[in-house]
Order: sequence, then structure tokens, then C-alpha cells
Amino acid sequence: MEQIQTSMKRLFEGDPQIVRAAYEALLETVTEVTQSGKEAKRSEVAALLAAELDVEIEYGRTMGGKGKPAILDPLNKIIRLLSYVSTAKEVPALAKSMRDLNLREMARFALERNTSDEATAVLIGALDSVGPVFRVGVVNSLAKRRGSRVVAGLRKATGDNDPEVRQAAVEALANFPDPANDAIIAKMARCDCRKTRARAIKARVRLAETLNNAGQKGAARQIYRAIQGSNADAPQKKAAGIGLKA
Amino acid sequence: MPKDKRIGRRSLLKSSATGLAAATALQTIAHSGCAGKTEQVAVGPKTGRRPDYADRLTLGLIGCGDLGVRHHLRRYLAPEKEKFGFDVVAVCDVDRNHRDEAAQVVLDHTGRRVRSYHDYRDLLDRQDIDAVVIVVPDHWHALVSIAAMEAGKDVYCEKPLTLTIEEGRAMVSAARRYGAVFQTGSMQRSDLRFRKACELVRNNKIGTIHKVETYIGGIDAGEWQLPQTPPAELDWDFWLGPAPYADFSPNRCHYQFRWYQDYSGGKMTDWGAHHNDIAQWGLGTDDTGPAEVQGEGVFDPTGPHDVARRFEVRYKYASGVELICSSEGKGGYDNGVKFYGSDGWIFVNRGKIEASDLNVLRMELGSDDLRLYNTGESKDNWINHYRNWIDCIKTRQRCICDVEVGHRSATVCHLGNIAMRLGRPLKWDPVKEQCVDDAVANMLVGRPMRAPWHL
Repeated sequence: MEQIQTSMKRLFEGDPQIVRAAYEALLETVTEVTQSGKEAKRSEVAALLAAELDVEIEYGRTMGGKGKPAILDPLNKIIRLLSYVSTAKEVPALAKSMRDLNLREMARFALERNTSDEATAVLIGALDSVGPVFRVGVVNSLAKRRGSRVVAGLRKATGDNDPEVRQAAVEALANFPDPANDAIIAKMARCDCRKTRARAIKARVRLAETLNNAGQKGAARQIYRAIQGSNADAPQKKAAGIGLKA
Repeated sequence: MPKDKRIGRRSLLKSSATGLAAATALQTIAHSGCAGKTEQVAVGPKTGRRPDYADRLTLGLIGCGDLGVRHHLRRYLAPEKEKFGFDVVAVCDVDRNHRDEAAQVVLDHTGRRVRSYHDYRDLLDRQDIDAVVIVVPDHWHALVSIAAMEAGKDVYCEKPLTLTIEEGRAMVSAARRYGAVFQTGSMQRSDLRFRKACELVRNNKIGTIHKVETYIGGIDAGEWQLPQTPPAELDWDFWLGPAPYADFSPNRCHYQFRWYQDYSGGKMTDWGAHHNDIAQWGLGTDDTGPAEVQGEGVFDPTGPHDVARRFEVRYKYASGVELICSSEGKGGYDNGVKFYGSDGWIFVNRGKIEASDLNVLRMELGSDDLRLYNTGESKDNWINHYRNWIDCIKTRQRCICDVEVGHRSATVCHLGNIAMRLGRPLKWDPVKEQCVDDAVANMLVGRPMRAPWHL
């Protein structure tokens, strides 16, 4: 553990060669403890990494390249390492990092990789608490998860006041083999904006395939036929034709 | 064309419902004068459209960097347009200088002014573009390819096909969903020597294969560069796209991206996509992959490159055949593929083909021997590879390096990188495309993407 702490300290040094060497050493440790049978060591390492995130970052007057605190880069590296080993216990630390504009994407990546229910809850909760640009990312992370709470969260996001979030949520629903999602996607596919319509119809095609792959062939065929009878672009009609023939 | 009537060029040709063929079936492609077996190549469902062969195809080039312009555009797409029967009508790059250069090359060769785009989605929105050539960095291959296929375009995408295994499966799904013709840029399969080597191997001319070695080279540690303000002509944030944010430095993009794992897989994918692809072809494992993999890599922190500098990865296939992929050459052989059989060996690279017994190389295949996919007899494999793609766009057959082939070959490379990074042996299920009993390895089969990007 002493070696880990030494390496973590070195992440905060300015010399890129020292930082890189420290990161490689930590990555080797982190990947080693992910082996079967090393769960106790893994917990220790995860806890050590998470503890480093419990800091208050002081931002100067200037932001962007010149004003960014030097601490951000090592913290992002720690979060990246944590994504290999984090469990439910580390979710609070990642959730805290998600509240920082400069750490949030890496924290989201780590939560996306964390399969615990706690991580799912944090991501769902984030839909109500973060700005629209980041909400799109949260929606995309939820798109990879399963469960009724996730679907409920995504369905709610299809009514978001930001159009990109709404679109992302509609696209995410295409990953879930629930025919009821088609009504939501189809509604967006009827909107006036051509680009929005086109993206929604692409999502419809994917939903049909998701249903088909899940054995819900009747529901899939219904969607394919609806696409063929709609004002969808030629590629989507072709895809529907292929789906019907398969 | 009326504004609200978006009729693509290809849909102007009448398609008849009765012309639609049955679902995908395996068919043989017969080569003239050849009565023996031919490589089984899956043929997708035909659209019922019988394209006019006199029709010229229109192409967009997405990715106008070194490979895109110096190689694809200058050597082939622009000067060979008459031979191939297509026209480049649009270029796209997030670096303004690159796209301007590309547009100038097209103008110089063809006299045509083409529109240049910053955002590939705007190029793909054009209904008058039939197909695209994608020469963007690896971390963009999947997103651009899938978007292109969803826009109804056929695709030529450079190798390595993907940054992750998950991306490859998504690309295959999209290609099948949209009936797209897809060529991976693994043009060694269109080379006479590589095909000859694989045909000899597949027809047991050196006995039963027990081992394949691929030698693909290593890299240096790279030069440290301080973060800089990106040049005005480069949209750095767009260049990063789905990759985690990193401050710009010149050695992080424009060719050098290959040595950073956020954008590529190092030499393992850069050249492994060529030589491990040939290994797959010789072994006849294009629809599957290895069952076990373990490797050792040297990750050198004295420089910024974070991919393996030197490595040796060992794969075992279900048949018992071992594939050893190494950054080092062996026994005087380098940058190529060596097949070992019970009755000898064959080595092949871009410059030569050798065998333990030269008589093997002089062998003619018999009437019962398997013939592999032959894209043409030009000594320039790029010509054969491009012609294959163009022909398949017209016939709707699958290309020699169909997306599934590219995906499986890239998967071999990605598994090598995952095994090296984790430092432990992995068992791989090539049907489920998952590692067996290794959740963290499976975590590395895909990657999170920066918003707003997603597969």
C-alpha cells in the first residue's frame, strides 16, 4: 500500500515523465488486483484511490487552459484507475467528482463501468441535477444498463426541456427490448424538424432489431411495416425491408 | 429536385418487390476456369436494383490527413477515377488545411471543384453521394462508418477497423441492417503473394498447420511535448470526439495518434490488422477467433506513448493452432507472416514469399483445391482492393474484407492489447464475443464515449 501511496503522490508532480511512470505503476497494481481471488486487495486499492478524490478544488479567476488547477489532471488519472476497481463503496466519491465540471466526464466513465445498483441510482439521479450537455452523456451511459428504473429514467428524459437530451433518450430506448418504447420513438419521428425525425427513425430501426434479437419478432415486424409505410428516408425503408425478410 | 423530395441517386433506379431475393445465404463465387472449391463468401440479400454499370459512382472522402490525401486521394481516388468509374464529389476533415488540400488535389486531377466539409454528418446528408472512403483516426472509425451506413452509403474504411471489439460488432450489425457493402482497408488480401501463401496453407501444401508467427514491429517511447493551444485550422475538440479530453500537443494527432490508447492500439493494431488478418485468412477463421490469449508488453514510461512498445502475444485457437504475434522479427524474417506446418513453412510479406521447400511455391492448385477470394491480378493490391469494392457496390456481393472480416481481425489485435494490459491469460468465447470469467477484461471490450457520442 505504501508503494501505491507513493505513486499516487507522484501523480501530482509536474514532471510528465514522473507522472507517467507513476500512472503505469498504479495501472499495473490496479489491473493485478482485478484478478480472481484478490477481492480484498482490490477493495483496499479502490478505497485508497477514492479517498484521493475527497478534495476541494480551488479554482482561480481564470478558467480554461491557463487557469485550470494543476490538481485536475492527476485527479482525472485517479478516476480512470478507479474505473477498473470501483464497486458500490466508491460510488459516493465518483458522484462527488461528477459535480466538478472538469472531472465529471471521467467520473461518468467510471460510473458507466461500475455495475452496482448504486452507480445506476447516481446516474439516474444525475438526470435531474446536471446541465443539458452533461445530461446527454448520462443518458448515453444509462443506455448501456438494464432494469425498469433505467427505462423509467430514460422515458422521463424523452420529455426533457433540452432537445438534444430528448433525442439522446429516444435513441437510448432503442437498446431496450420493450415494444412500448416504439410509441415514444415514433412520436419523435413525426416531428417537424427533418434531422430530429431522421434520427428518431434510425432509432426505430434499431429498436425493431433489438426486439427481433430478443425473440419478439411480431413486435419487430410491426415496427418494420410501420417504417415502410411512413415518410422515412430510403435507407431506413430499405433496412425495414431487410428486417422483414430476415 | 424538389426540396421536400429527397430521392437518392440510387433509388432513381426502379426496384421491384418481386426482385427482392431471399434472406442471406451462403453462396460460392465461381472463378472462371476453375472447377474446384471456392472460398465460401456470404452474399447479402440483393436489393432488387440492377444498377446501370455505366453509372458513375460518387464518393466522399472523410479524413484528409496523411493517409487520406497522400495515399488514397493522390494515388488512387483522383488519378484512377476513370479506371474505377467514380468521382470524388466531397471531402471532409476537422483540419481545414487538410480538407483544403484534398479539395485542391481533386481540382488538380479532375478540374472539378468539390465541396469540403468540417462535419462528416453534413457530407453524409448529401443524397448525391453513393459511398464514402473513411480515413479518420481509429477512434472515429465506428461512429463515422455507422452514420454512413445509416445514411445509405456504402463504406470503405481503413484498418484497423475499430478501437474496441464492441465497436466492431456494432459496425457489423449496422452493415447487415442496412445491406451496406463494406470494405475494410486490409489490402494485403488483394495481394498475389499473400493470397498464394494462404491458398497453399489452406490446401495443406505444407501439411497440417500448427503455428503461425506474425512480426509487426515495435515503437519508440515518443517525445515529450507540453500542451499547446491547438492550431487555428484544427477543431481539436471535434478531433477528440468520443475520446477522453486531453490538451492538444502535435505528437498526439495526425499520424502520431496511433501510439496513444485513447485513439488507437499501437503497432498491435496498426500492423497487426494487416498480418494477423493474413493469419486469420490462412487459418480459415474469419468467422471466429482465438480461444485463449496471453501476452507480455513493455509499456515504457520514459515517453508519452502509452501503448505497448515491445510485445509478444500468444493466441491459441480451438483447433490447437498457436498464433504468436511479436513486435520483433525472428530468424531473419520481419514484418510478415510465417505459417508452420507439419511438412514445412511459408513466409510472406509485402516484398517476398519464401518456403522451406521452394517446390511448394511452384505448385499449381489442383482441381479439387480451395481457391480463395481473388480480387484481381494487378500487381498493385490497392487497385485490386478498390476495384473489388466498386464491383461489389454494383453487384451487392460481399467484399473480400467485408466488415465481419475486419472486425474479427481487429478483435485478435484488441484481445492482445487487453491481455497485455491485464497481464494475465484470457479465455475468449468468439461466439458470445466475451471473455470467460473475467469481468474486467469484458469491461475493456468496449469503452465509454465522451458526450454526445455513442454507438
